[in-house]
Amino acid sequence: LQQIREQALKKLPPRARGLLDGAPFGDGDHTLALIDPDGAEEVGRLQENTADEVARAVESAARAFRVGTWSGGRISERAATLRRAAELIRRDGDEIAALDSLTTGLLWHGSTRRHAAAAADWFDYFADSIECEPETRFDDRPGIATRSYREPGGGRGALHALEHPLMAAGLKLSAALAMGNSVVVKPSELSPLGTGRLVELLHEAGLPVGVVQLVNGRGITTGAALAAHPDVGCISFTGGPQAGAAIAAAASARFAKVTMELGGKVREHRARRRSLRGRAGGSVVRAFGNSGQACLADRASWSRRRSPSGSSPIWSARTERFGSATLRSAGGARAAKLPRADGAGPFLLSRSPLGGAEILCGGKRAAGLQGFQSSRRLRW
Amino acid sequence: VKGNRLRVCRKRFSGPLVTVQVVADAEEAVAVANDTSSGLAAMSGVRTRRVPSQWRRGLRAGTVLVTTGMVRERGAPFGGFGASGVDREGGRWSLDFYSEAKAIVTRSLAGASIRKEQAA
Repeated sequence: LQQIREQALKKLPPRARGLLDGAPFGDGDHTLALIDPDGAEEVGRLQENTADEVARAVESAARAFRVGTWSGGRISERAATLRRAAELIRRDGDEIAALDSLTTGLLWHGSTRRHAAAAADWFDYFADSIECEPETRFDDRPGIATRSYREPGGGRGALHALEHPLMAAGLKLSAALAMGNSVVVKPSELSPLGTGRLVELLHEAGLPVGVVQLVNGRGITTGAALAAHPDVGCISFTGGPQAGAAIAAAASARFAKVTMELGGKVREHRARRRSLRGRAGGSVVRAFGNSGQACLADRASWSRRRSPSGSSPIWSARTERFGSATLRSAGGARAAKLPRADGAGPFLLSRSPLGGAEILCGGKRAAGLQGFQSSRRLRW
Repeated sequence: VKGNRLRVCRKRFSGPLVTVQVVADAEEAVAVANDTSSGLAAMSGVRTRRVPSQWRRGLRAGTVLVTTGMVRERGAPFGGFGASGVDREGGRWSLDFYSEAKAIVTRSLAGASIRKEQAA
């Protein structure tokens, strides 16, 4: 594992850049630090793309859409390219996963490797879907036939955030490309590396030049420029509600379509007696799996039982054990969490009021760990 | 008139007004038709046996009417591209819009016992 990590680090260019028509681009003044939360060290720099550069990427994507090599091409050829992309993602899955682990603080084993596999599966899935996509016929009136089918929406923007960068990118890219769209993708500025590699692989798979573009940078600069560009017909966003509202407002001015996955706070209701004791393990895994960075992570657990007596030591013990197990399986201390503006994640609950809850364990920066890691905190 | 340069070709009028634009072929016709921010409907009056593929695939309009006036099937999607609107109404498109999709995921008891057998 250490080797894979070092190889990924070695391949990392001194400055990660966006891709315009498949070639690195971006000459703005602003660069951002790419931070490995495990040790809080800088592993590289990210070149932020300016609004002008975003406009160039969008216009090139829109041009590719109008030319129609991809958007107007044969469905079987489109499906074949998507399947080739899936194969390539599987071929390089370990490397992509390592790149993603570098800056997300997610475990390579059990998290990002699975995300890379999921990204490949999405490409296969939508390759199959478009080949089976039916045309609907309405023949209610004599002499008149009405037919309807789906047509690509045009230059499409895709913005996605930190949690599962690979899975989100895989889903959005595969579906949008399957329908013949051109796509401009902007990954989170905190974790853009895996997605960058994904875009390179799409070119290797034979996607016509211009159809997919990669821009990098912060939401308020690069993301805002993408959301506001008139040639972006649809926006698919995964991230927080505040950014989502800003994107929706920008899109509404020109009636662009938006789809948003804005995360949640999953409650788990345990009804059965003794279930706290018996199922503590499952809860702990759901809450802290993927380093706690999951839209579907348990954030609260309800129980009919009033008193935690008897079960809280089990919860604490399992939490600690799960934590140390993930640390071990990573071959080092990798269970980490980036401090994020929204304070999401179960490890850093300091911003949310405890409201009289009892802390079962954790919640402090763990002794002997570096970086942004803190020990797990569980509230009752 | 050639192309869409004149304001009269771009502005929306609510009233009886028609502009006639001269084009060389179907390809240019599609280019002129698409050279607008809106895209509710497009019509083709060309009398041919086969629907030219340019009409079918090339026109950026929610409804493409070929040698017919407005006909609206209740099950067909109605709405426009670009500034003509967002999403569609009619048929399942209306049902999609007025509902929230939900997934109910249940672990079946049969599945649990199968997994136990596999484990054993």
